[in-house]
Amino acid sequence: MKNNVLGLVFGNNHADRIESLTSHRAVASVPFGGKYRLIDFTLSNMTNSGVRNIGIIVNKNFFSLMDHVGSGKSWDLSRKNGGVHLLPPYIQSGRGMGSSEIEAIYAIERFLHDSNEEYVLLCECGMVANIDFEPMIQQHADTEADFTVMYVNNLDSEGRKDALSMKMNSENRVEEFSIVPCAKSGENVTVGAILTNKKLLMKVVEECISTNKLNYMKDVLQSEVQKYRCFGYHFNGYYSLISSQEEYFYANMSLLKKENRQALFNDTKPIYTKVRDDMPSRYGLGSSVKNSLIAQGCIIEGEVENSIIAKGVTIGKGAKVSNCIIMQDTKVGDNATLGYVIADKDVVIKDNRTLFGYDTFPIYIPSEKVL
Amino acid sequence: MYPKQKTVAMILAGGQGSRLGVLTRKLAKPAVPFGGKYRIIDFPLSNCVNSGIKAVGVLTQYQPLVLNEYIGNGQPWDLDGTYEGVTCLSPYQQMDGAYWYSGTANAIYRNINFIERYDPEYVVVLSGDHIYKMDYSKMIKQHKKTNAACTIAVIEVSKEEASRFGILNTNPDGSIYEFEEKPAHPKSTNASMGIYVFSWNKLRKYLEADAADEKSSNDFGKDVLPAMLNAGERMFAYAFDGYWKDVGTIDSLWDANMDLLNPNVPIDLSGEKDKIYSRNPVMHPQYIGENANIQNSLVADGCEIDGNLEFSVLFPGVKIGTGATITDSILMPGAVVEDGATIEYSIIAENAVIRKNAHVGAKPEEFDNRDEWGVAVIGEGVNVAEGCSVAPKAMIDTDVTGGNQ
Repeated sequence: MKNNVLGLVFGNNHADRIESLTSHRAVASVPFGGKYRLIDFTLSNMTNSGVRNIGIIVNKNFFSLMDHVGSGKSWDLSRKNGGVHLLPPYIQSGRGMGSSEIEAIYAIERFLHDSNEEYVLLCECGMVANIDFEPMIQQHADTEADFTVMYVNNLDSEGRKDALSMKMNSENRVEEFSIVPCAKSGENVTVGAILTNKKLLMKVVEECISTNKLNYMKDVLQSEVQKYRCFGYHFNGYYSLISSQEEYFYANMSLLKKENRQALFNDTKPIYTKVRDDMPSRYGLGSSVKNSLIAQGCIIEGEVENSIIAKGVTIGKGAKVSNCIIMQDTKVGDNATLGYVIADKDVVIKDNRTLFGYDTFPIYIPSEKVL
Repeated sequence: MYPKQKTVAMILAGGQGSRLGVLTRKLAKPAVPFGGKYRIIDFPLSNCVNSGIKAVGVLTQYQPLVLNEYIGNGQPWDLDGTYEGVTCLSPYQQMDGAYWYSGTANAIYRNINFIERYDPEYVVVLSGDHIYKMDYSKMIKQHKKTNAACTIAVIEVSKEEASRFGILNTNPDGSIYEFEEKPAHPKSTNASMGIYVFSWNKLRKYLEADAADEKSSNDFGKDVLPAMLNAGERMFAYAFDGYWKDVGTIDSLWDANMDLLNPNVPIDLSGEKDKIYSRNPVMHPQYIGENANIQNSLVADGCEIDGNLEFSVLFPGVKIGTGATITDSILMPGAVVEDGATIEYSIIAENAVIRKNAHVGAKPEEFDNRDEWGVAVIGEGVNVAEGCSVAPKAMIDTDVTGGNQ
């Protein structure tokens, strides 16, 4: 059922942190898990939680995202009322391309103004998780909050760089936000999902623009935490936060664990994506596949281990692919050997080539490169 | 007002398909899953789209729920236009009474109104239970060139097979002078594929005459086509030389699935060219576990495999436990095979569950008398209990709770 919440997704923030993968696409359309794009998780979570009017803010490199989202049909978001809207720069005259979230929201003020929803759910799209936003929406209403900020407190051992960490009182009201160079496990760290009231958001954005305070983390949440009723909402399910190439690699590999797949993909809250009509994947005589996630349309004649193989990939006879992420339509030639490689779309690895990265430094091959 | 369409396709999808037994207990034959992710109807529907035909009627009668739901608004095949696309046509009540479709010709006759909306020149009549890729526009081109009233697609079969088919005997120019239904001594090896192109003005006339004839069985093959031939209409054969298979029996359905695993059989479902479209399930990519061994098989999204798989076709969401062995078999959507179970030469229908160490089917080599052997079929949702075994050729539609069946 449609609720009273407008979804607003930042399609390309932190693109600078995963530069290689975003050189020709927005963060939102970075391929993930063999058949998905990062935006699929946010869009599916929103539509599964009754958020049925969604804007995606993009500033550049959004061709592949436009192609992927299309009319929104794949997420049941091609609708007469609401649906999904791509919001590129300059959709309102005089309001151009800002680099901050505040400027981005200011640029699409008209979209906010024209929507009927009372609340706005702001999301980044670097979080891979299956999130039910309904309890968060409920908590926001119950606490009469101005801002409800989603957080986690179970970071992995690597921690998280440039995190916004927060201290709360016993009623989950946020008392202090602090930007920490590297957050540790146990700290409450925000994960890029904030629920607020539309009128308040529009007022805050206008004030920020007029006073040139453009960083919502620092200038709104951090400095004005006492002024507003900010509450934390704890998310404790499986998630991956992607803001670097290494995190991207680990997040993909985490899907090889059964409990993670079960947490992320379930029948009641499916993760939708635009599907290409590929045939089922075909395994040849003499192929060997272990502990791998394989999308449809692949032809596998060689050996694959601990890898994520996207749709339409070909693995030649005698090829050995281990600990790799191979994106769609890439061809790995006969007897080629790859380890710890991230091959983007339409890459061609010729016969007999050998390429090895390392656990902590997977080698990235840009799309359409021929090796 | 509907814009004119030069060609309208009518797909006959109402048959029960009784020879498929438990597989068609709850669904019409064209809705039977095929090839790891498709349903049989995807083939004629996609062929229509790939041939540039934009108006398609699907004639349904037997168990239409799954088929109607599957076709839906036609979006997966790009057949969801405002004034064009696919329409499911079920029998309906009229002023003079309520009738079931009494035969293939009657099904088209009852839907003359649907066809006339598009004011077509040609009507293509197709079967909903054949696996093949064909560009109908080439056949229509020949139809036009020969100025025919009816063109029938034929495929060359062997002399031995010919007596199982409807055979068309033709003059050197390709015009048909005789039909023979399953002849004991066939004069030629041109088997009818059940694909007809008609000039609509002609077909309409013969459908009306056929409907008025109380003795007619209202069937294209038995009544309408012979009537046209006897009246001296120009009827031509159109030779097709690609892959074509009627999947009306368990054996032919099994064979056609296995053909997809054979690189020497000329049907290719990969790539962009003449793609076969289908409604896709929302499932994660297939996961292949540490203990899996997969040889020459097709596997779809959502499968979780930790067993051994050889020469098999797996539909979306199939689960294969550790140490289970699947050979020469077809597992339809959502089928579950638990640890240590063995499945040989079998078709396991949707959501059936084969419990631990159960054994379904057998290899033909184990039988001295091949007539005792056949493909085993486990019906939709059937549960085969732990350690039980199911004999080859068995067709099971109730749970197997103990011993051997």
